[in-house]
Amino acid sequence: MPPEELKSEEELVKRAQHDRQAFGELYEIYYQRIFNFVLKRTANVQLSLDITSVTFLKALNQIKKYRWRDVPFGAWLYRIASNEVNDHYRRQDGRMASIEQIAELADTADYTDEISEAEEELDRHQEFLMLHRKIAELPEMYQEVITLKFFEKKKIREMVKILGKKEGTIKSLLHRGLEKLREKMS
Amino acid sequence: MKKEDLIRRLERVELPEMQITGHRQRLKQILLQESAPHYLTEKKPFTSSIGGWFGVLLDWLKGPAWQRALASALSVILLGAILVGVFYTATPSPSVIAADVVKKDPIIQQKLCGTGEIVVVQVDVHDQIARVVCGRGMGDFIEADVDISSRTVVTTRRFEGLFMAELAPEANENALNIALLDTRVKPLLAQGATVGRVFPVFSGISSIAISNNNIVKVTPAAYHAVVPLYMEGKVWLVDVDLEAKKIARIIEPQIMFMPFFRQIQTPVANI
Repeated sequence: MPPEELKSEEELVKRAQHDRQAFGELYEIYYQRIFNFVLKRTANVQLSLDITSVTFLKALNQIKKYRWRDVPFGAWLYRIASNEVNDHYRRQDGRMASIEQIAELADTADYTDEISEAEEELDRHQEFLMLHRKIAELPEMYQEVITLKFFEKKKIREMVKILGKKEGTIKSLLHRGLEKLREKMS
Repeated sequence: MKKEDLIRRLERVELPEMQITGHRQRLKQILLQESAPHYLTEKKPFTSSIGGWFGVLLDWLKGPAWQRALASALSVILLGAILVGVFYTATPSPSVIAADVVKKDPIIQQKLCGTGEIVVVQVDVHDQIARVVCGRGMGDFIEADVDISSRTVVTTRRFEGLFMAELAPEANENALNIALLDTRVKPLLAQGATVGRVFPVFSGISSIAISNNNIVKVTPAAYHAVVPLYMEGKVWLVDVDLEAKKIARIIEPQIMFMPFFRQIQTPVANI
């Protein structure tokens, strides 16, 4: 992100810490990216919607404590989303319980058709689904780096900001993750 | 399979990119509600700490007399704290109560045009009275004062006039750029069609501005915009999907007879 954009985002984030409308602007910037990232981690439309919801609700709850560190706000959202995906698979509890508490989000009647269309669209990506199935068999630390690198097209330095790990660690995770994936594909 | 082949496969795979507009709008509405931060309270630490406390207390109850007495006293305190906690978490905030009362009020339901769901746009709470602005997204709005303690609507006031929602300048410009560069639109412009005022497809309200007891601005949560093109007494409606940045459809020429179209006909550009 160019320095001037980063500066402008910093100001927006500071406003969002006490202004709900400013948070709405951040939401508009990042909603689609987070949803598609989660979709590539889960290959499940309904679950992706739930995790996206939880990600933004958690971000809203925590934004007052958020400290700007010259890193795009999106990196923090990716981090929350990735943790939510990992937590979900650790619990394996079907639909997210926290979403069931929120009646307005649990009721998807208004956009059931959109979800069905998206599921049909997802079904058309058989090559992706096959790769996803194999990646999902790997430990989550490898899933994260492989998804960010190849499906989100993130550079190593961006992954450093998202995952909060050192560059060498990420390169090593990628190397080992690819090796393990290659074994599963063979 | 070689590692290079795997990398190539991962780099070249066609990835799913999709959007669920209904969810996007619903979630935004929830995030912009005053009560949103109360969602998703972290329950695990609470329950685990309570469980831990009970474990300690149960151990103490098996111990000597002084430990049993202390455990009994602490149990009473802990039970009281739980009851107070349950009371506060089970009671919705005044703004949530007010919004709920307004949505269910039969007089407001009757007074507002249309039959769709009532949308609460704004809530201000002062001394157990909540002032709520609500509408059905059709351009008319009611301001209601709600008594929180009795959960009743005390007074209502309709905002006079019909409020046309306006697109933000950037969205307006984007809609025009997308529409006017389209190969199906260009021939119409070459034939002398004029471009009318762009209007949003009213799918919700993101904010409302009130000054001197009047609504001065309604900002829609619009993800489509319609660019009207006028020529020879007919209007073409170019429906632009602002999310996908493309034309969703062009509605074929309609004869202009509706006052609505006359109202927005003022040309903003002659090309």
